[in-house]
Amino acid sequence: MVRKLIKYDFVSFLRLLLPVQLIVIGIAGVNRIVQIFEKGGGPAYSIVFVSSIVLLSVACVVALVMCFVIGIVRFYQGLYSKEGYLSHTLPVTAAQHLWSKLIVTMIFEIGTVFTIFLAVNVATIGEVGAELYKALGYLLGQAFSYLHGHLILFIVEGVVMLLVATASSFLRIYFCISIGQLVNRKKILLAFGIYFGIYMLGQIFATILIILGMVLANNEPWMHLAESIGNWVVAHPVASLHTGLISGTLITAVFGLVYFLVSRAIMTRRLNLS
Amino acid sequence: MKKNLRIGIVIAAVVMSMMMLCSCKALDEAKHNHGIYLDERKESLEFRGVRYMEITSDLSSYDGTVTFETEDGTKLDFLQSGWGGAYITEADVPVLLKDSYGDVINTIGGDDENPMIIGINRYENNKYSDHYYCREDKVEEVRAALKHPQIDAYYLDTSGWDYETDSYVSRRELMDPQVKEVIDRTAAKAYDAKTDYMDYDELVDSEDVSEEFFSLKSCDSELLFTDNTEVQIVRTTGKHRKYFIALSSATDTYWNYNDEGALATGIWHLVDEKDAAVLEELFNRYSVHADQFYFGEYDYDSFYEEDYPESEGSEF
Repeated sequence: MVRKLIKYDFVSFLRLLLPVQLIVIGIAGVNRIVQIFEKGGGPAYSIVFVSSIVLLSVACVVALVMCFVIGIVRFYQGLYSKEGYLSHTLPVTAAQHLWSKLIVTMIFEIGTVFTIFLAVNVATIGEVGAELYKALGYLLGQAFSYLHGHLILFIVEGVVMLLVATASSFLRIYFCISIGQLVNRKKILLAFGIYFGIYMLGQIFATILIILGMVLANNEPWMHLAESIGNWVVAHPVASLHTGLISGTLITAVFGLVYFLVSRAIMTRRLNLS
Repeated sequence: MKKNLRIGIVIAAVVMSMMMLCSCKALDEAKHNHGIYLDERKESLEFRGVRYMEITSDLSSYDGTVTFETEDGTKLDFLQSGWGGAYITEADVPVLLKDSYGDVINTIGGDDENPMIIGINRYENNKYSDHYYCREDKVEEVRAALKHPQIDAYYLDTSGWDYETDSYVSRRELMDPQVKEVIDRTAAKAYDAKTDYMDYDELVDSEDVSEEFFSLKSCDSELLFTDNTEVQIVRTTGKHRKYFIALSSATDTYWNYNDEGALATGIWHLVDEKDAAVLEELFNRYSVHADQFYFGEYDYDSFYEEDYPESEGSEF
């Protein structure tokens, strides 16, 4: 059943996002065609070329934003609006609903990033693209000769962290929407309020930590602790980076899990469809 | 549908192939300014299709800077052109990373496209030092010139800011042999109290000396190096136009102060009338304020407005 849910969501996403992604590739192609006239030069070429670059950049941003917005809209419409009456009658648990929405949104986010990557390749196809790949290969080679196997681990950890962070950010939005639908009126406004509230709490917490750090800096035991952590980081830069990436991923995953569990609980016990 | 799809794929493939054959101006320029070392010890390099061999060890008493000493003890400076955006890298460094992994070069002699000598400043053995590479086909010629340099010409430094390209243009122009002959003839004359002057202030007080003057420097005929001997030529704006020259060496420039704090003097020789025509042509060829060259159009009024908003514009 979950597979069917995913398939249905996938098709509706595709219908909305495929034209946008094709437009992005098309603009990249136009940009590359414009470059054919570079040898002629002149201010007219500069204007057209720069305009095409700006258009491509804007198209890439629009594609990402659209994917993001559609993900949120599909979640809200599918589970908390009139469509929710049908969705919640399906033989699927709340967790499965959340997973299907999350998986499809993540697939299209990755797909949009891939489309942008493809667009850049189309815009630089030829000698420029070849040189870019040569430069990238050289830099990776340099990094590998310095870091050896750790480079591959860093790449894997980085990708995992990005995926977990993206999933967590969507789960946060699902959480806010789920909290928002608890009231009878102004549900979306409350959802916005909750979202900014979480953001403000995060900022306040970070500021408190910084102030605490500054106050404790003069306290000897804390000073020794900070010094030994600093010395360890300097002495073991690779290990400290691994630690940072893994702990960052775990903390983000924990938050994501909290958002998931609360959203699931609300959907199961406190559903309030309009 | 399938037929349309096939046609679309073929068209896309043709367009992509066309695009792949087109090059990029910026990339071509980057490749043009990228050279590579041909061996691990960096004793030879290739730049713009020409091979260069290192000649640093041929420079006796070389102290790792631009000055070197010849066998007879003459100190010479290489006439380096400013950095033109070119780099030399190891052979495996891609052209897009030349700025990050490459060594900056200065060019000496020849022309901008095909320099005779390349000077590279490298960080090695915990210090920066200059290394010089000569075109493979000119190595013996340059080695001979370094052993026994023939400083038998003068050049005018016409470097300046090019406002059209917004970059500093480094240029030197070799003077005609006639100019050297005039200078040598004039400088060889003994001091004549009736026509010559002992110092610049005296010259200015006695004659109407305009702001027009040239500073020429001695060099070899290939514009590779100089012994820093300078010749200053001034023109008077009085009723009878006159030309005066003064010679100075690297250690005794006429405008320097000596150890006692007094302005060091040099003899300002009057140039003979028959030789004045050569210098007249020189002054006519170059613009006023020949010691400062600008290229392209520049709005002098806006220059003053930006830096001195209360002024009433430029004095030009």
